[in-house]
Amino acid sequence: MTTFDEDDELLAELAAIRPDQTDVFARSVHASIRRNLIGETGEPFRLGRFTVLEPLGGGGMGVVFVAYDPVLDRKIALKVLHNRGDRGRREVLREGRALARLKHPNVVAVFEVGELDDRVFVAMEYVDGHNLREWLRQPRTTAAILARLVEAGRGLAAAHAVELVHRDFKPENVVIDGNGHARVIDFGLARPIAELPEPAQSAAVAPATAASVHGGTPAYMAPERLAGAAGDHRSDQYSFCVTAWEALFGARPADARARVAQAQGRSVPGWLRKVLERGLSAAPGDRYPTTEALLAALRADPTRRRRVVAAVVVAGLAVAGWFGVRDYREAQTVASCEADGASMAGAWRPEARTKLRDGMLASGVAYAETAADKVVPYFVAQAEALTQARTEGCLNARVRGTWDEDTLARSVWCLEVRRLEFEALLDALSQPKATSVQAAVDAAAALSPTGPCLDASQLARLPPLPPDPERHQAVRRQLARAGALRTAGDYDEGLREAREALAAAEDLDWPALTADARRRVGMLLVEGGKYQEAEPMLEDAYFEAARAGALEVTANAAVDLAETVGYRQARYLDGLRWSRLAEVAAAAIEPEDRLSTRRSEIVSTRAKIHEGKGDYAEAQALLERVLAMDEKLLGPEHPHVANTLNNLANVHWATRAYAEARPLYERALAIHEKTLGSDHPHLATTLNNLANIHLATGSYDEGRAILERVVATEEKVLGPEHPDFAISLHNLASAYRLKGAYAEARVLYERTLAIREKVLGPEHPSVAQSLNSIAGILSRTGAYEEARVMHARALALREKALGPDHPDVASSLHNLAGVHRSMGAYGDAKPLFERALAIWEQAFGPEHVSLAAPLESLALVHVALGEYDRASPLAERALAVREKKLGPDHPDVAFSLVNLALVRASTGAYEEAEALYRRALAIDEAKLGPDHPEVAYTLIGLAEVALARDRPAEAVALAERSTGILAGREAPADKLADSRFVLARALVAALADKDRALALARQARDGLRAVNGKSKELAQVEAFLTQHEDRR
Amino acid sequence: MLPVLLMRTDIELLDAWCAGDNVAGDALIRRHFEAVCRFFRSKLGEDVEDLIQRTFQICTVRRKELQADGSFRGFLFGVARNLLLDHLRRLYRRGEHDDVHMYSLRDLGTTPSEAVARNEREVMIQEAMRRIPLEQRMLLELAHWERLTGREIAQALDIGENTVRSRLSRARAALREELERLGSKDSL
Repeated sequence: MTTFDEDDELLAELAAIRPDQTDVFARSVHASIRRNLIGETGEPFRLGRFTVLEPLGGGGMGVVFVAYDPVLDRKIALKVLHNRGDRGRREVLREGRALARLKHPNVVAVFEVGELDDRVFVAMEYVDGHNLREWLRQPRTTAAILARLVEAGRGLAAAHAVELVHRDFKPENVVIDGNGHARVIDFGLARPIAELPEPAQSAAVAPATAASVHGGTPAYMAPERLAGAAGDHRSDQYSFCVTAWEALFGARPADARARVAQAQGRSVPGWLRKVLERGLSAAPGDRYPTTEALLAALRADPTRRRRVVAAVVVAGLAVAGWFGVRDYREAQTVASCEADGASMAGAWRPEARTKLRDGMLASGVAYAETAADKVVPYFVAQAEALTQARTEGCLNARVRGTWDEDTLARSVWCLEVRRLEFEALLDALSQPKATSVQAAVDAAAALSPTGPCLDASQLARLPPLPPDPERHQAVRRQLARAGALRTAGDYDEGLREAREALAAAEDLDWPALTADARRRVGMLLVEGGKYQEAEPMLEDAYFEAARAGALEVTANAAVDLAETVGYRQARYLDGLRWSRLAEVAAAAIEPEDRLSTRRSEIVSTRAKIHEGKGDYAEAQALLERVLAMDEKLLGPEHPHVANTLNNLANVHWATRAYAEARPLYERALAIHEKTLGSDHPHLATTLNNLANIHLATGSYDEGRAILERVVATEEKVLGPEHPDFAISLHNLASAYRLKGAYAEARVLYERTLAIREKVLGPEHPSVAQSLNSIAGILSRTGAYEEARVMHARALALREKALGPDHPDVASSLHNLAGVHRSMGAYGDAKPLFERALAIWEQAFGPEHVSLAAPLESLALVHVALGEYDRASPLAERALAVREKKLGPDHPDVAFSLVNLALVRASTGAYEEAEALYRRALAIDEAKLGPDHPEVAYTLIGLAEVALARDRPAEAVALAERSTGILAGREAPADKLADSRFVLARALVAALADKDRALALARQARDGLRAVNGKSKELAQVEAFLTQHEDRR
Repeated sequence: MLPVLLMRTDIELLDAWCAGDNVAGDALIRRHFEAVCRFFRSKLGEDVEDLIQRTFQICTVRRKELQADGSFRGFLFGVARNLLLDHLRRLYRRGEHDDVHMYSLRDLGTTPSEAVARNEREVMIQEAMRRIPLEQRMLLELAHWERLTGREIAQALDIGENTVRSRLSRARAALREELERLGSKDSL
């Protein structure tokens, strides 16, 4: 065995400065360890005039013993503080003097403060008992807990009254003595208010730092102290209320929503909770102005009890159950992590919530109040998620040891981005704007999930963090603001912000940031319709991000390009290619089988592109996948799920799969009602779609009922002069029209017209739509000249607004031509029909169902002009097209059947004509009801055929029926005349009531005379009358 | 009942303590408390009660790692050293495999508790000790404050026994260099 004591002066000097461990610190630590490991206390030892009996524990500030003071002749608690240098000593001595001034039954007394063995000591009253936390381990009534809290509060108030602040109030610092009374201890950090240093200038000092600068336990610290301020009696009030809450509810108060949940689980009266909540206000000014006021509020319960404060008696039990030192330290770290977490949700204070609500209500939108209520849970959930994620990450790194500090730093950065997003959205939605109220819930539901910030493998794939994050912060904040403005619908402002952010980002020369800024500018350009400018910007963003290894931005840019290029600009192949690139980027971030909102978005965009392309089957399959993903990720009642349901239903609608579409719309509607409230405009959209399904399947009553509901809501919510209200009104009118209630329909159409002319101006295309509809009604009621004027006006409007080849122009041409035809001006009608047909063929292709109507009209014109051979193929084609798309039983198919029958009849093919008529009749009776005008028209046709086939009795029966139908309602005069005329002829041919026949014929003549362009028919009637009137 | 305490070896005391003999444990702690206390306090300051306590606790937990012919002191300081380095890593945010022992106390910025220096020379020596790498400082402490044998030092620092001497010379040289550097300045 060799030692290393060489004869060396240096080594001797080194040995000489070896520190002995004989001071009071070493001895107290030894005693503590003995007690913890061996279970025995040591021999008492002298410390100045005191006899140290046993240690009570230690902490960051110093060690505490039970000791005997011969001067006071009593047992005391002796606190010996760690050596903190001269300055620390001065402060502590000052504290001690302040404390010695305080004498109160609910405060543990300080007898003396001095110096011992080069350290400061504090000789305090020794209180036998348990601290509040231990005391609470037994079940206690609310009243008992409250009584103790009030006592402790009195102690605090007494300190405040002499301008002392406790600064570390918590359950461990309240002792319940042998008589059951609460005493506040460990005013070790108390400092007279007048001597407190200035609050810290910087905003957020990390809680651990705050604790070391001014002392205190972060979990109980008031927000202003966490932020670095020194605090005052109101900070003590906060800590008191946290303690009280924990004592009464069993857990410390978390955020607002969790507080409500906590409150509901315990038998704590509501008034008490409210008092504590005030004390827990984030802003000191919102709390009770004095501690006395708080106490008064606490004592002001409906069941007052008198409490007697006994004299202080020192008993002989040992203080038990201090935290083991290690647990205490870990608890401190945990508390510090929790404080970090809490700081994430700093923006979501009660004032912020009020401001949000006020801002939304100030927009003046009728459903704002509902929207304000509906949007809150999403913010609450995100605040909670941010807090939790931050805390978890900290625990992983600092307590569990599963993360290293670098991973934590990345996680914090990831969460910081989300925090900025949260604040920006909160701010944007708090501005009073109608567009943002409408978008509120969707936007709040779309806040980025925090999961990726807790996924170590994903975090590892983030690009490296910038060296100077503070400078980036400003740009990030601006980008978040731009994003929020975009989701709130304020595109101009958002674009401005984004452009500024891009300029600032370029200065910083950090490609990941610049790429992201560029992407946002690109997307805002897209929202403003500036696709030409947007595309190169987005492409640049994509490549820049890819080069910088910023995978998230790369994926996002690729998705944006897919949507813009593939969907909005209808360049399908390019769009699909971008979506594949997005997949590649996404796969580099997370495994392929992982569900995420990013994946969902990519598939969703692909579906949209396929839909636009007309690949409905593919679109449907993709949307079903998206639906499954979103239901799993977000829950089955999330706004996004409703949107996907709506989109899927639209695809079904496009393929006329009404039965599949309907339950999807209905489910989307249910979700919208839950998440948006029943007054939200989104509901009107879904309801309209649902109504259209009903109308398209012939369920006119159901469709009408839904539309009436929409109209009622929108009139209330949007006001009676809103264009969207006009749309719903128009749809309702159409429902009436389809049912045959022309008068009601006309009233509504005219109202729509008035709104549109006023609000959108008399040249707006939607005005043409209203004119068109009214004219249609006029036609049906026989007012052909008026109808013609209206159609002509609509046509002119549309040609001007939409250009000569637009399908809507073709509509007007067709309708105008129809009126001409009804008035007998076949020569005028024909070219218009031909032009309409040409436009439609061009727009939709030769097989499209929309061609049926113009084909038939043209066919009938040819019939009227005697060009039967030209009529026939057109009518056949029309029927075929309709049957193919609508199936054999649709009312429109009946219409085609009637037209073809007419053509057949005019060429003498009566048998065929009858078969066609009968088929049409069956459909009309079933789908429209036995009293619908269309039934009457078909009956007229059948009657004519019957007459032509020499079956007058049958003709009479048919014609009676048709006349009966038409006479009982507001039918076009000429149609009624037709009916009467055929009845007249049938009666004559049946050798029946001739007088009646003549009367009918005269009525028919009068009727025809009242209508323009019926000269041919009129001549026929006149001829008949002449023929039969003379033969008497 | 006061048992007669024979002069048992450290390992005998340890084994007895592990078997439940608290008196033996008490004696063992009494023998080595000052050294362990000094070890931590001279580097970290006063907030070390937990570390000291754990050092002793871990000795009982990891008793098996101590060979029959090994030295308790070497084992004890090995445990203490590991606790110290872990603590520093956590406190100063170093990764698991980082070489925190290569840093000096000055670099790490701790506030150690030291003896009161009686003159300027002692002040300088204390300062120089703060500036050499932790590993070298520990080597010097173990050799010159605690007077561990070469074998014990090797066990404590987990190095080869034959390297102890050469490392110690290097440590002394480093200390001398620091002193020279400090001496050439006007003030510390």
